Amino acid sequence: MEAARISLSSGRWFRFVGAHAVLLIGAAFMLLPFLWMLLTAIRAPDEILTGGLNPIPRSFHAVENFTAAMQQAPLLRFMVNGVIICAGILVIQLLVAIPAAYALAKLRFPGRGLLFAAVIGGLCIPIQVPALPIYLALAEFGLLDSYFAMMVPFFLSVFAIFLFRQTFRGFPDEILQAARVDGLGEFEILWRIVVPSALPAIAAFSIFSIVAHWNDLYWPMIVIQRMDYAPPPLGMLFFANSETGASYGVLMAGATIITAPLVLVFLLARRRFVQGITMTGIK
Amino acid sequence: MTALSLGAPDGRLLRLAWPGRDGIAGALFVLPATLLLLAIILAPLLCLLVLSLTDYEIGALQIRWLGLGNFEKALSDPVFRRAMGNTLFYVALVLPGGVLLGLLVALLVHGRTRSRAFYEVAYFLPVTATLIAMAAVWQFLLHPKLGPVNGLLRAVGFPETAFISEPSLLIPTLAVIGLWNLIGFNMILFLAGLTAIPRDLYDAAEIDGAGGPIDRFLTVTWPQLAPTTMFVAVTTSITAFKVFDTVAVLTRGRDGSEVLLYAIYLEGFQYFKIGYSAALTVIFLAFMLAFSVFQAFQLDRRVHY
Amino acid sequence: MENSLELAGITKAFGRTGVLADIDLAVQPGEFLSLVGPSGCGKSTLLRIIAGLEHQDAGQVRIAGRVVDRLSPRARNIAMVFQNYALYPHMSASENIALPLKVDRLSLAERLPLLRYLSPRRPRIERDIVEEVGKVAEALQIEPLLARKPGQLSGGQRQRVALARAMVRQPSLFLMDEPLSNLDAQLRVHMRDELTDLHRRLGATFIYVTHDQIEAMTMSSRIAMLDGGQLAQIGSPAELYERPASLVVARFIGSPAINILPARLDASGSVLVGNLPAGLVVPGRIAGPVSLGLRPEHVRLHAVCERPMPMATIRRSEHHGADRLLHLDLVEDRKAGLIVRIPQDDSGRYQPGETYGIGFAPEKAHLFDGDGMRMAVTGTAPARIGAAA
Repeated sequence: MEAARISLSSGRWFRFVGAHAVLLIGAAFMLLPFLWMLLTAIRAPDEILTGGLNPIPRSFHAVENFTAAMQQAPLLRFMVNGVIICAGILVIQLLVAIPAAYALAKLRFPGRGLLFAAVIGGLCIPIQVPALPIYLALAEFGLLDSYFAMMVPFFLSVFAIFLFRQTFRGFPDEILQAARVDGLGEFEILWRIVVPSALPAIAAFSIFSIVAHWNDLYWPMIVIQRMDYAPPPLGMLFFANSETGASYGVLMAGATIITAPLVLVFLLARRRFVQGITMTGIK
Repeated sequence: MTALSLGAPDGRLLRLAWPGRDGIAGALFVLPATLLLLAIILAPLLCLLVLSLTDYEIGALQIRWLGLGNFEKALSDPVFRRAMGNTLFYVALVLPGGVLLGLLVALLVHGRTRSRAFYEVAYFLPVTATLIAMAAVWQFLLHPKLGPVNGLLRAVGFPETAFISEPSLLIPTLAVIGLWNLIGFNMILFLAGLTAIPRDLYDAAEIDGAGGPIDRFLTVTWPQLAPTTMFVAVTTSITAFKVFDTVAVLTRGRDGSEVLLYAIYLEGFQYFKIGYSAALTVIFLAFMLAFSVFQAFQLDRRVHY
Repeated sequence: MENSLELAGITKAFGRTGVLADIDLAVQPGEFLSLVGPSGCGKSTLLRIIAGLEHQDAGQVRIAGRVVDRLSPRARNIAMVFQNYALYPHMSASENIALPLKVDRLSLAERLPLLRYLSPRRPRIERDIVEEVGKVAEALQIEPLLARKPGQLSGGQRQRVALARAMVRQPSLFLMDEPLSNLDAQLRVHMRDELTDLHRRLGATFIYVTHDQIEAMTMSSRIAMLDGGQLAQIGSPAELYERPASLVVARFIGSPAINILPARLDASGSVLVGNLPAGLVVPGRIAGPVSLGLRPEHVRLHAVCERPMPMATIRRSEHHGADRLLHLDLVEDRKAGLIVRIPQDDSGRYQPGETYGIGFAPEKAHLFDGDGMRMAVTGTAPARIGAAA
């Protein structure tokens, strides 16, 4: 009995140690860039140029690096732009997608099948596909270099429609019928009864949308030339390419500032993020 | 998990009780979405298809109809062929790596109890981080003189390696960064798949004698994860096929790192060869559709479960 | 001894919550023993400990006289049928049934993808397995279903495939964890029949977990009732019904449930219902509140009372085919009600609103003390309420 228990636990012990060894090596690979970014951001330029492996900076140069980063590029401006764009896109996406999804899920109207087929088809079309014609149209109307230009292709999220339709479909018809008997209009039913019950899905989609558009580079790179409107990734691209900033310490300080908001939000709302991925990821 | 379904919920009873009412409401509710669908997806798509058959360039005085000329040109264009080859090479590296490493990490993390939160954060952090900023960090990490990676290689006695300038190393280097960015995402998807496996099945396997780690994996885990794996494989392929950000920061599409999206970007938005860029976009779209059709087909098969 | 099962002092806790406390149980070869009890009583945990899926904190499990605590489920020579059948969804019915045999007879290498084609003896062994699967399928009449996957089978068909998977290794001990609870009512009755039949044909020992006392009563040779992690009573269905060891057992077994009337034991050892002597004497016990249990079919209704007796008014009369169930409210205590089962009666008696005197035969009454334990009724006093009528 004793022997059995010992052999069982030693087998377990090996598996335990093995799993942790593999996971820790992997975790080191995942976290090393973040660690080195932070360490370099507080290092002095001369120490960086020697290219040493010493993890601990000899002198604390954080203030200089971060001030330099803020002076060389309007990093705060980029972030404000990012917030404006993400918020604008998300609000309109929700306002457009929620009623459409509800109608597709629970109402009968002519052309419903066709519309849903178009939504499914739209799921396969990334922004890079309609980019050219939309760019030409925006150029034609002189709308390039504006918040509107950055947001307009994303006002409709077929993915949001699809996700919300799946969620709304699970909503019991009896409750809708009871609400109709009670004299509520479809609009009231939607906003006062259906939407509150779908908040987890809406939260999940919001996270998905914000992460996607905060990090998007392709579209802003096309429609934005003036730095005033640049969102964080485009700003980072300007910043990384500007010849003046040869100092890696300053560059890493900038990268830290750009990366920080989403990473912080993730650390604070880890559960929601994971839920969001599993809900939106598995279509 | 939800399955794609084109079937309509049965609203007949409802319609008898409220004739015409949801017809009007429904039409109103979908109006904004329909208009936007037309304006930013369908019309541009049509426009793209037409453009891809012309030689339209911004500033050109006249437009000529080329038929399939742009596509023929693409097939013989060495730059496009390199971009296509590099993109497929990139996918070929990231797809198996992303799926297998994501699965491995998920399997190991799934068994953890106290340390699970830590590993979830560690592996997921790169997903949330802005890839452009982190690409700049990678550029520094891989710097031949200043970067710690080469510092480490030198310390162990290896020669200095120019990961971001040696053409033959560019795609593998980009693939490593792509994997770094992707594994956590796949891990989360696999973890959800693992959580959904009924405990009963593992018990049954134990009773049937298939209780060893390999038997458990082959009898229960792997077959049960098949739909998740298929999904992860398709999303990974799509993400990999769209590689752009790291190229834009690290190499700007220089020799050895031409990829499809960057080629489209250059042709269309830098050289303003709209017609040609549109044709390349159509080719890109064809790949996207192929992945999606493959996935829809898989979803259909999953109904047996 | 060949397929007996003994449990000695089985104790189990999950974290700080105790689930099983010191369970002793001996099951004879060929017995059909049901483990019953309300949900959370520990019956499933006990079954999983017997199977080896869970490990007890203390105590011993012996199968066929052999201590199996250190053995894996597979080495215990048992089979188990799960509540949700736990069929492997990607395998056909025949592959599901064949799996235990394959694991038994082929090495790990011979079961791995690709590698297995290297084994020269594998085709022969697999042919034998197919043959045995065919035999079991024939016995359960599922041959036409063998090629289908679980998703294409109905609940009852899955149930049979799960049974076939359990039978194919010819284990000495069958463990079943609420196997019928996912079937519809009609199929459940039918499968009850089939399981009893199967048990007789196989001659194996069955341990059957259920929360449904009717299943336990109709199928088992003995029933072990668990309550709060302890063995409340073990015995034949008749014993549990006729001599429940405690109020908990009395209430759990029988449908409709037993009537419990609050009663009192006076200093002389006489049992009083309300203020009327019930005709039962329990000497040598301290006076105090007790509970009087009466099965619905043991209550007598008296239209004419020769003696003072508790009175009750019929609230509702239910037609149950051959029987009728009357729901009555006690006149003295409107909160206490009771249910009486009477044979169908055309005479127009027993209508709602009518009041009757309540009587019973003293030997049919069950008496439980303040802790809910059965009290031995040592004598009956001269019948004074209803009893002799």
